[in-house]
Amino acid sequence: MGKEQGATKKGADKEVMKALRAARKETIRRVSAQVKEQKKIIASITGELKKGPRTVPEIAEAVGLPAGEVLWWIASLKKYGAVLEGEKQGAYFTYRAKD
Amino acid sequence: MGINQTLSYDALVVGGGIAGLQAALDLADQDYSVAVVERDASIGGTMIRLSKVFPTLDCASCITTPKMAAAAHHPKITILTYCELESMEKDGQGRVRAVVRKKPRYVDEDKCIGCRQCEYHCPVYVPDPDQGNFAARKAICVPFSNAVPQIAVMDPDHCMLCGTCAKVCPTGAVVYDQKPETLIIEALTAVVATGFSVTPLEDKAQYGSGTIPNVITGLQMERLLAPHGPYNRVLRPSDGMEPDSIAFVQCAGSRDKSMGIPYCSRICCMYAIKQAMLLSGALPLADITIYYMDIRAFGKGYEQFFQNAQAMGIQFVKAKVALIEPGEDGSVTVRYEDQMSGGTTQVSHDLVVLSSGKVPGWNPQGRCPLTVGPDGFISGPEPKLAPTRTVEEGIFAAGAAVGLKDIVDSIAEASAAAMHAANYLESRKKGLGAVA
Repeated sequence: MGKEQGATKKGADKEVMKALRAARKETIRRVSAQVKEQKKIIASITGELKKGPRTVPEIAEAVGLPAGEVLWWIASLKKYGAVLEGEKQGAYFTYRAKD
Repeated sequence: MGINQTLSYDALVVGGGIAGLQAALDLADQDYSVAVVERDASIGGTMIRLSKVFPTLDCASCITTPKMAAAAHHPKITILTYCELESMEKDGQGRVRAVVRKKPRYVDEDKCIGCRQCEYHCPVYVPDPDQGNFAARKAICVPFSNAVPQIAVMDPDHCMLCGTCAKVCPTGAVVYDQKPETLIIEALTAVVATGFSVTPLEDKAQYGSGTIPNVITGLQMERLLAPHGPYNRVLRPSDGMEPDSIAFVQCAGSRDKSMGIPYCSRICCMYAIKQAMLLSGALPLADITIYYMDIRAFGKGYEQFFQNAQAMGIQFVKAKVALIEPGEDGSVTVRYEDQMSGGTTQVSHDLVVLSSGKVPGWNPQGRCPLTVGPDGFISGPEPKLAPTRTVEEGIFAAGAAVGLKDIVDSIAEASAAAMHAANYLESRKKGLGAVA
């Protein structure tokens, strides 16, 4: 019975999603482009960190992004567990990719 | 469009910050039923977003969370989060009737268990205002780690309807097509505790209108100092450097007619001193300067707190900062007129914190027959002898909504408002009993 309920629910969801996707076309296009860009940035930052611990200015130089933006990504990736804080180098902390 | 539902309580509290929660708890503990309407997705208000509080240096989260939990678990309190008060007025029988718009979370509140699987799997990173925009949240997330209730909220402006959250949700709580609802709340009395908000950095051209890197607001500094802050330590937002020289610019908006805020915001001196103390603990080698017009340390234990800060080596410079400009390598140049020795001086800092002006969090105009003073804060017929009374009999106000005040005063005033509301409730109930 549980299965049956699940199946009905999924069917309903499909209809709902179809209608919503039509209604929110613009948002979906904008956010999809944004996510694509975000994925590229995450890959380049974590790719750089896989080479070894790096400070924010070092990552910024390697990936060609402003240091402030890199720090924003480091803070965000650290929050979600993909990046760890490492040793301090001068006035900067280093960061490394989670194994 | 929304489903109408009418709910009845003895008391309605507007605002789930520390003042609103205190008023709700005081009323509920006297066995009155209370509804708390909060526009955010979590109760806790400004206080839950702070690092520590002056002058006791208690951890803000440690002392706010128990109050939030007490209110949320109280059998006589109903918490309505993510709800906007559309209107509130008295009906013919003198009852308070509020129209509340329950905003869609796109998550079924009864099904969500706060496991955050949706958040972990969501691919969209969005700036998190609860972290001063210094880090990301996801397009669907539990607002913050100690939010009450622990229920996810979806941001439809950043959702691409990829379906991931619904797929990973173990309880099937995601509702992509949830609609706003309209609730009618009837109560015999109400307490308005809508708090304050902070003027944005953009407002002050002389201080860079928010375009200078490493110029931040006091609330952003709270996040940098908070244990669950964006970096888990104090770093300069432009490049992650540990700052060696930090400055606070007081009255950066308040006591400034050009900003439309001629009054003193009352809490900035103390929170700047508190943040300076916390910084000198976190960064013992850093130079910390507070540029001030006057230090107003009026509360219990505040003067001692100020003197302790001076003894700790925090520099107090009596000066009005005229101009803030971007300097070399992410530094910030502060130009000021020294009121002690005279002449203009230019100093470079790594990080500058602006004590921006504070303004009312909510304007009753057009929504509710309450009156406000020229400063925009709720006014009443007896500001001296009954500061929580408003022009509407049976509707009381407390906390920063009435006029800026610190946490201690907000809590005391909230309890006072609850007492007045309880008295009013008793008289109303007796009156209603007599009529019946």
